[in-house]
Amino acid sequence: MNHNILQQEHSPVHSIQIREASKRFANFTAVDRITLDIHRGEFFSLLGSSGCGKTTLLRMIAGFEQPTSGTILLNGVDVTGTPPHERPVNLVFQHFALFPHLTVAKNIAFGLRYLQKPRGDHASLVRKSLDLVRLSGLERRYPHELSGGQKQRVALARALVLEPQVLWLDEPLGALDQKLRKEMQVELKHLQQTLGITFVFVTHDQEEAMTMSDRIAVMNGGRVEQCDRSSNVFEYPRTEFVAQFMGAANFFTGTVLSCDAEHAHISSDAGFTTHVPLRGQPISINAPVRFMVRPEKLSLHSVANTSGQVSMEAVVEQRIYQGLSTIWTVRNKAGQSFTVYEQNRKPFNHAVTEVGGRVFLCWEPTHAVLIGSSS
Amino acid sequence: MSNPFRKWLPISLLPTWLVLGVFFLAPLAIMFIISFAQRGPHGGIEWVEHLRDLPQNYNDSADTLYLHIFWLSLWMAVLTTMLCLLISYPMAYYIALVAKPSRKNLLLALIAVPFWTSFLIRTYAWVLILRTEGLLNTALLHLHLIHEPLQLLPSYFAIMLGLVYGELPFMILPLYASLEKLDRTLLEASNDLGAGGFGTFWRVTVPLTMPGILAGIVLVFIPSIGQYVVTDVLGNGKILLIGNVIESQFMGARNAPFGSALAFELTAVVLVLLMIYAFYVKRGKREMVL
Repeated sequence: MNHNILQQEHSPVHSIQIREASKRFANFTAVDRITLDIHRGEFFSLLGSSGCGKTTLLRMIAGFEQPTSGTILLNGVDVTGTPPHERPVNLVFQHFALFPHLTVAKNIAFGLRYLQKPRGDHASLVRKSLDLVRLSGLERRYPHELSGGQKQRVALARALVLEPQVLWLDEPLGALDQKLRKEMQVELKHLQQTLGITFVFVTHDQEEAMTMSDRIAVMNGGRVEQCDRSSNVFEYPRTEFVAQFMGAANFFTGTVLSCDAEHAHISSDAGFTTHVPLRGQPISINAPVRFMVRPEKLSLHSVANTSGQVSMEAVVEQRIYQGLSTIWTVRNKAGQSFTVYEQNRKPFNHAVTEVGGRVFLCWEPTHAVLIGSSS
Repeated sequence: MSNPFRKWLPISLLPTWLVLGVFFLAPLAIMFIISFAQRGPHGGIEWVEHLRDLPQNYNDSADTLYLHIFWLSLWMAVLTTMLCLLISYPMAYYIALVAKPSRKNLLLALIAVPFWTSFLIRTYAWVLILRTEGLLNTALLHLHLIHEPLQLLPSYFAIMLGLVYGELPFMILPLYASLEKLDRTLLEASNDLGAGGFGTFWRVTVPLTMPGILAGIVLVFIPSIGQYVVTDVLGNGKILLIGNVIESQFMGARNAPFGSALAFELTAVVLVLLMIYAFYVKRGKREMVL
């Protein structure tokens, strides 16, 4: 493990560099001119719904598919034409893909004989990697004698024993039940931190991605919509797709009145004016604009807030009590509906109002996020 | 087991037992008894008078002449099976894993097409191809590859050709069935772990299709060790394998007792080989889910 850290200091920051990679099939484009850098030693997630191109991108990096155009570099070396068995990348498959005719130990040892630099006794390497995934003692079992979670760990050990520079995980938790997923998420994150190997995690579950990742690339229609730190992708989505994919979002429309270096002064179609931070989003004066506020950033008050917050009058349509929190649905005069998540700091009967009651919807102007159009 | 048909199962199996009993077990028992009798002066069956004469036919069959033919038949069958396997595996692999899904049914149908014609007729067709003035010799002469016709009939080569040709579908189909079931992500996993095409083939594809390989071997080996039609037609009656000897005992020599004894010895050999097969399959099942 110290060995890995030393390596890191002398190697480039980028583990994987994808340059303008595209994959076109007969009648559709699965991956459309993607450029992406994945840093050495980070936990990176490719997030998107099925059909967004994340699996095709993964298959191109593993070498099962050739990009139609563009290049893929691993540690600075162009591997675009290299066959899968010659790439220092290993995969954990969605359904584990354990060899049914081999024992756990033989599954794990499968790739050892192909290593360029033999690393000593195979049996002890297998034992070490089984220890790592906490499966010691199951060496002689066959895959059909294992539970889902155990299969998952064997698949992980089989890839990790080869000490790959990059480990790709293709929705590996999809086949596990909820409780096991949570456990494995924590364990994967822990493993990644101890080993220092670059993990690239492919998933459609934004919560899972946020739980584990240092950075996330949100994919849609074969393109990367946004690639940033997990919290930034959630807090400051740049497109409507990202905003909605990462969680619930309230959208506002308006017109830009003026703008300075930091903020845009916007007159909203709902009747209020506000200053929304630019955060690098390109805008033009007098042009229509959209911004977003997350439901947990909103609060409900019986009177309009005057202490620098934005206030908007609305009527409560629905109130869903969930124990930890309450989900409010309110509608403004223009007929737009908004969602508010409220932490239940006070008991149920202390709520600001009832269904049908008049309220003011308030938020800090800095919590609003300008939304660009999807590129 | 809540299946309501289950209690009717023993009754519905009755016809099967009946057919097996009347047309398979009973004749086998009769033959077994006859194999201890002797040929009568005019070809009938004569029961032996002394107990010590009972194994007479089996003693006679231990003659080097018959042992040699047995050995030869065994080798012809082994060779046929091996050639069928070598030819069939790539074909089955292509149909199951490489060919476009839309083409698969066509290719499988092409393999089944020969079954539309009688096996005997198809074997005679080889005579037309292989004989002195046949298609093959004519073509080779015209191409000036040879200057005088090859004497291909009768020959072991011709018999082998006929056998392999006839048994090929019985090897391809079980191989196809097991290759079709093969999970392709396992091949990718093997690739990803560093194994190239060769390593993946020997360490993943072959072990996982072993059930198909073994089924194909049984289906090809058993008919080819006992057959006599191909040898008769393409060997012109001049080459004898164990099937031909048995047939000639029953027909030409009218020595049903001796023929029965030889047939039983053949059955015994096949049975022993099948038991070895069953042992391997059983051991294999413990090691993998098939």
